[in-house]
Amino acid sequence: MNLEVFSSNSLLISFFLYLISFFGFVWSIVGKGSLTKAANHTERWNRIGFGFGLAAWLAHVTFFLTRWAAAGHIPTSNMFEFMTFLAMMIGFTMLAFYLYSRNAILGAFSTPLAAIIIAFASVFPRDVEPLIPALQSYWLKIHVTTAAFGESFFAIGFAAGLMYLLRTTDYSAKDARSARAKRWLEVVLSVVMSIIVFCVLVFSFKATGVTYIFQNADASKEAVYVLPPLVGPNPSELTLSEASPNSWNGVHVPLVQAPSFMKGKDAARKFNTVIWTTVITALVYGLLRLTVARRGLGAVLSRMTTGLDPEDLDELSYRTIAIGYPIFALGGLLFAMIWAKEAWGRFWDNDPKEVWAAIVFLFYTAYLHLRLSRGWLGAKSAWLTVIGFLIVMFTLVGVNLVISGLHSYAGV
Amino acid sequence: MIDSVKCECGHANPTETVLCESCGKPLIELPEHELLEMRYDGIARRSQRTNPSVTDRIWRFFSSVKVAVNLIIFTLLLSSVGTIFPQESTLITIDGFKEISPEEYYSSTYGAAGELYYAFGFSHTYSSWWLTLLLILIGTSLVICSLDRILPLYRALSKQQAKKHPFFLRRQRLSLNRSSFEESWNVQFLLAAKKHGYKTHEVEDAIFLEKNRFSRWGPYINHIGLIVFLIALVFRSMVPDWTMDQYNAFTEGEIRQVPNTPFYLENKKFTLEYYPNESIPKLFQTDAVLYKCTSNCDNPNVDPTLKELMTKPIRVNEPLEYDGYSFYQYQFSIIPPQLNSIHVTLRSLNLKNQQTYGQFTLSLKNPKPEYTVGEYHLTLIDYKPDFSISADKKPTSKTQNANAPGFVFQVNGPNIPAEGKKFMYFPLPKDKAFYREADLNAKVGSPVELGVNGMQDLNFATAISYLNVRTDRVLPWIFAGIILFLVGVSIGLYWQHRRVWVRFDGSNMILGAHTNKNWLGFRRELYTILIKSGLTLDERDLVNSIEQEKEISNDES
Repeated sequence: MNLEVFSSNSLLISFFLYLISFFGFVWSIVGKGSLTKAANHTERWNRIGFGFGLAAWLAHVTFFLTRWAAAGHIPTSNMFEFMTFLAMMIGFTMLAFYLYSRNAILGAFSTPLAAIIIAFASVFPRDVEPLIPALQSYWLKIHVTTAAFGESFFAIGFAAGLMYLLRTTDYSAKDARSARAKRWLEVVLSVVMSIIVFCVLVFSFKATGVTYIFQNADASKEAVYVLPPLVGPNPSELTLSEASPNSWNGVHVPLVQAPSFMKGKDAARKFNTVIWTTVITALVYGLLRLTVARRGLGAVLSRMTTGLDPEDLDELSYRTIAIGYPIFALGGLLFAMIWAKEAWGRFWDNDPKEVWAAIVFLFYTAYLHLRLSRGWLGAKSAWLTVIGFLIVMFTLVGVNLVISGLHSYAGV
Repeated sequence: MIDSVKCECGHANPTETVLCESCGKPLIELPEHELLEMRYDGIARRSQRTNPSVTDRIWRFFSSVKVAVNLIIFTLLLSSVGTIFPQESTLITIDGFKEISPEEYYSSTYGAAGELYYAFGFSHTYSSWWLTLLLILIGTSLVICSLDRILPLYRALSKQQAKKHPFFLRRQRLSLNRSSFEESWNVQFLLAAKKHGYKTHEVEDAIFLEKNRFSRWGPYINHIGLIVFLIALVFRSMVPDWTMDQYNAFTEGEIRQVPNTPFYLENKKFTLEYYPNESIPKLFQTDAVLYKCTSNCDNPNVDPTLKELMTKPIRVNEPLEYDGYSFYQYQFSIIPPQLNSIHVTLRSLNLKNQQTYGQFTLSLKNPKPEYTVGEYHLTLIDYKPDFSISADKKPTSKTQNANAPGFVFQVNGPNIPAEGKKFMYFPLPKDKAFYREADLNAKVGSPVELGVNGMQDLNFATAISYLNVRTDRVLPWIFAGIILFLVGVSIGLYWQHRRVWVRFDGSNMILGAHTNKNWLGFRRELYTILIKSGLTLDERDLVNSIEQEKEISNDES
């Protein structure tokens, strides 16, 4: 087994260990023993959750170091590597804060975050690629890792903020305010669920080995669909190649063509992915509402958080952001500027990625001012951490997928 | 001070002071059964004046945190709009853009949305007047916010009095009242407090503990850092001499003056490497030599005298840096090979027993007029870079490019008449054959000829390297501003200013305590100190009775 394969296997093991750790923490909270207040139930399952969490993280570090050895450079140079690194930092921050707070619920919310990010990362091309000249710098080690480390605190802050909201939203109340909170929590949870759905879809269809390739006349341009193309590109640009199947489960593909304003070779494919993800997420959500979560996903999760002290969560969420803010500013702005100056000759280029890093910074600046000077505590502050993390994720992934620019080395 | 309010303790406070700077007694009517608002210690701030003038109103506007947050949110939203479509400034590198106007580009590429984007000026968001204005407003807000608070706060904190008014102590968030205590308690209490890093101040009937006052300056230090950063940005755009940003092309083998600088730069060789079996580039490198002109710099007829300053391979991420100027590897283009110079050998014309006399480098761009090779001396009589015979049968050069270089030399040396012998040299084999070089040289009776020993003697230019030449004198200030900001943020977030006041009235003791952050940590610390001093109490006894039922976790900066 070569090093690269060993490395990939370590990541897979790490992924499953995070999931086991997640179930350990969840069982600690909702298991039979916790209801009957059985002796040692919580301690035992917390220890199991933490033990597997630690094992997952160690497997994750093994993945990171062996990939580094196999590639000959630090594996933070494309989207897959960066996202897995971010997940590793989240794992670290989660374990550190767990040791500090001994809070099983923190593990129950953070381990799936790390696992989802690993799964999402694995959708992107996973090949080890040599470094282009622009990335050949020791700043690749410093800038990317520090920025990701800072972002991992925002992630834990988000988890704690979300927990706070689930804990304090009164699911039995009927007033407008609670209704609004419930609705928005369902939206946030559905967005998180849609990422899981997206990963499951991509991996299931990849496993079938069928791809749908659209090409232009001289095959110089092509769009490769993994998900069955319900929406195909404009036939005047690209048409389904002879070798590709023209139906999926009896459905003629492409079913329809993308609206004409969607130009570019991948626009239709991305639109197709969005449709698949949205439709399946809606189906899964509906199914859950009809069966286990009749009063909403939030209501189910809210029950898990009943034993928690909301003010502890509020404080925890604030502290993670207070720690993450200067680290992010250091790694995502100052180090970024120094590197940009060294590689491109300019410390600031208004590249979309740079602008979005600045937006993340400005957003958390506003958060700190509102919290520290304007007294925005509790729910207001928690919603800000949720929005903040969405902005962070857009900066990391969305900018590369939707907007391109100097940082578009991600390969998707 | 003309306008002042005298407190019963005798201290003269500036008007509009809420809590006496000295003893802490409220100077205005305060609601019953509420904790004291301790933010900025109840000092008089210009922004809080009750009868504001116009300037006061402007001051109040900019000193408001609410306004500052709104400015931040506006900046954030407008910046994000600027990333929806590419900015005009980045379009130059997109193919085919130059032929159409930006307006057409946006409408043809992005349709109606693009048209609106262009019409509203979002296509140049980051150089727009409204974003600049927002940054100026944020800068103003930073300055005024800081001035409004830092000066009065500094004054108040530097003249704190140990003995506070009972009202002040009873209305603190952490407060304790004991009716009897032992004399020795003082000593134990002070000892325990010192161990926890407090500065202690003991006067008659009162004790004052304080630590980490410096953390109060954290927010102002970080604001000063941001102000330095913004001022540096303004200077950067206003003083053109401090920044230079130009792109210059350097052909391989050529020494070229770097415009607007005292330098000449030679691109000795450009290297482009790919990873084995990959289409991914590994290396872009310009082997550069930097020169300074020492004389004949502006004389077009004489070659400038150059002094070599440094040699460095310029790569992406590894610029050449000299005296504030930086040379970055920016771009390159591969060109059809052009002969630059030849390492020629002077040898006898006699083919049977050919002798070589020595070698020298012959430039095709600027050949030198004379050469000494062994015992021979060569003088360049004529050089046509693009040799041809004109209609009137005279040698001429079609262009200035070395497409068909032809040389005429005069040779002097052993066994050659004093007036010398002339001979021709065509470096390229096609020209050598076409103009019958060997026959011509034999005909004029030249004893020598020039030749090469193989391809390794030919130096071709195969690439043009584009270097980005920059100076940025403001950069250290920009980075210094950010570093100051980070230091300030850390000071402000990770340390807390903690104070404890104790007052004795006979056998009665009142304790009040305040921190600007992390009340839980402070409560625990104070509890530990009190236990060590020999008091018996519960940690929750420290919570002010007004706040008893409400858990403490509220922060304040």
